[in-house]
Amino acid sequence: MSLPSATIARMSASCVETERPGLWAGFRATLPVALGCVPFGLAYGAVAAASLSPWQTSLMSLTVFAGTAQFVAVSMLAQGADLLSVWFTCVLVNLRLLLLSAAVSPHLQGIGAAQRLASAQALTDESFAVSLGAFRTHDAKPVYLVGSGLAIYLFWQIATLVGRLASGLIPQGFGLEYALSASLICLLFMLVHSRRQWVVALLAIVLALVSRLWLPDAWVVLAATMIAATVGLGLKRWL
Amino acid sequence: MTALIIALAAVTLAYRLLPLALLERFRLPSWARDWLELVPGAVLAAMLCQAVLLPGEAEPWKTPELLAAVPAAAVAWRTRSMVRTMVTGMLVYALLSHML
Repeated sequence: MSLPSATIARMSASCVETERPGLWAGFRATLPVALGCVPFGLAYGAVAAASLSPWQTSLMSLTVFAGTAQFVAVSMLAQGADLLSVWFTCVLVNLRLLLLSAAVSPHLQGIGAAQRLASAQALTDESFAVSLGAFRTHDAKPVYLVGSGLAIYLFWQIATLVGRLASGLIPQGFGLEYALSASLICLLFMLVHSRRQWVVALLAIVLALVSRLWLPDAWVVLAATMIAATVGLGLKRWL
Repeated sequence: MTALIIALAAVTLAYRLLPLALLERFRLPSWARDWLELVPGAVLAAMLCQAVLLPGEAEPWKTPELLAAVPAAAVAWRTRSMVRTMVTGMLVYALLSHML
């Protein structure tokens, strides 16, 4: 006995429909990655203690929700940077999110305004990486991204607040004032891969050393970054 | 400070939402993508310079700030672990500041 092909098509379609990974699958798949963000969140909270109150520390985690930019913001504030230069530097660091959003948009066709907003806020480097893989290989539902982002969101809120509150518990003499420098060093190794990126990073150090002879400290980081990255564009031919 | 946080949050949400809201293929020119790849490393390196090569120091290579960066960088290079790098850096820094 053979079923009409239309029936088979409908059956297999409904079968795929129930198996497409959704919100909960995205949440679960991202848990290990979310756990991996905890030390970074603790570091942000500890550094934020120098410039932000606990509720401001959490406000930034809840609204900005972008680890590198948050960390850059509190680090620059701890070094006495000007508010405008902090804002502008973080705006540059976060520009990357435009690319992630653009790359994920083909997989989010046909969703409503509320889910679009939730998907946007759920977008981080980590949720992007996990979700794009699921969209491509498992035909995940658009809401998978929201679940994925939610896992990171929850862990990020807890880790950053704990880091902020616990920073007062570490007694003097245990090197807490070195938390910023140590986490900058680790982040540098985590984010810089190519030879050209290393050359640009070293150039930024030289430019920071030179520019602080003339510029007020508040603008050194921004100036060194913009010049180094722009010179880096020209190095593409050789590196 | 709260105003800074709100202003940063507004731009960040716009970045996340804009390409989704436009729903068409949204593309930055390739030189802009290229530039963006270079920005995070440059920011971190410039901030690190401000943190460990202290301005106004006569012998900056003798400060605990710079010396503690060496073992911390070695651990970061080997492990890429935030916790291990921070513990190493903080302990070495605490030891050196007692000794120097």
